[in-house]
Amino acid sequence: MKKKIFAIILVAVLAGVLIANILNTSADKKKQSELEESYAVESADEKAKTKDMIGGSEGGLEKGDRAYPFELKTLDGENVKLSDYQGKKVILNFWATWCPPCQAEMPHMQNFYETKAEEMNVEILAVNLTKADKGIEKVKSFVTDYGLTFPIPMDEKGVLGSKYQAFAIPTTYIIDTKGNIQNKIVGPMDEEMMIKLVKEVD
Amino acid sequence: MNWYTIGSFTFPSTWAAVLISFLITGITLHFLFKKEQAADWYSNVAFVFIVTWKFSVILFYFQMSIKHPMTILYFDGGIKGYWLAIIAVLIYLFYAKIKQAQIIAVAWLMTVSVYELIYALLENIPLWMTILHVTGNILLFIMLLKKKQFSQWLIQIIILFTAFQLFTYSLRGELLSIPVLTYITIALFLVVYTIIRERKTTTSKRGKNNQG
Repeated sequence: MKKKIFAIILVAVLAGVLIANILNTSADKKKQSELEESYAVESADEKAKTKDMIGGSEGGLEKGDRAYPFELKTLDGENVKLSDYQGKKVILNFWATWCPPCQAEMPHMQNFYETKAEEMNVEILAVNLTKADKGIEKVKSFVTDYGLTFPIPMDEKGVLGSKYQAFAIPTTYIIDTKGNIQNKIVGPMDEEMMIKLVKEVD
Repeated sequence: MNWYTIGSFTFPSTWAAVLISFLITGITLHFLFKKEQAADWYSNVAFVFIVTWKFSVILFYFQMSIKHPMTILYFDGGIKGYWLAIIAVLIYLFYAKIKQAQIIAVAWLMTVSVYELIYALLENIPLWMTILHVTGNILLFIMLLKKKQFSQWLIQIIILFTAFQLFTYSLRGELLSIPVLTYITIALFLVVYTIIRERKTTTSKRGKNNQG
């Protein structure tokens, strides 16, 4: 190719790069202000909707569905409700002590919890499938061994695990600040993956 | 980023796109360049890349790998492992005595084109963008095949191809991303490599002439 023609084509493509980026930034700014306007109107309706939702068992497991509300006792004896965490992103994890990938991901989850969870507005709820596990003592020593500091709700009756279809474990749901499911992950997550997943939701 | 689950394993669309691209490119090279045995070194490249990225987890998560060895089975080296794998591949390419060096550029363009197509399908990129992207990639690929013996042409196509990827990524607002950084890095390597190989052949030709 003659040098002149090559140079012209290259400059044209790079000009396209510049223009595309400028257009994208101005489109982003427009979207941002439109979003802010709609939020102002929406908040009144939202409050009415939430009042309806919390009472019922309405929910689903698909992206955008409201996560099934629940209330469980944790290993420490505290009572937790999923609705307590509205306004925070939630990593809802289902696990058992005998499951190797669950064991593999726990150190990563603990590290994420210690170093990033607070600044990213995330809570971790690691629901132990107690009914399918090897006794509360096993769970207690596991938590001590791995130095876990996030809440461990205990699914003693096995109802929540099956409601959230945690058949292959670990299964994790990423729930946004509004309480809706945004992603379902089967298999272990490392810290990088958790950061990515949490960044992707609002 | 769309996440897909097969069995008890969830992965991002990028992983699937890379793997499928390696497979399709490898198979195509096998049939297109049987004489040059391109599929040989290409499969080595894919192997070096995947193994380095996977086992770099030991390097970057050393204490965790010792304390919980299952980390090695289930996890990978992450973004640092990715760049280490890229470096490993470039070192391999530099020292492997690949006879027809122009085919490296062909393999690269194919790898990127297939990757971008699969990625676009898995990520629900708007159809017009995908068509534009695929058409441009195919055009540049054909142009490359036409005169791949001449290094100036090779370098020009590599630069145009990379600039075109910058353009399509800009359309999606993803200019500052890992793929783009990768494309620029590899393009730089290919250009430098081509120039070095070109110099070597000219000096060896000159040497032969002097002897005569």
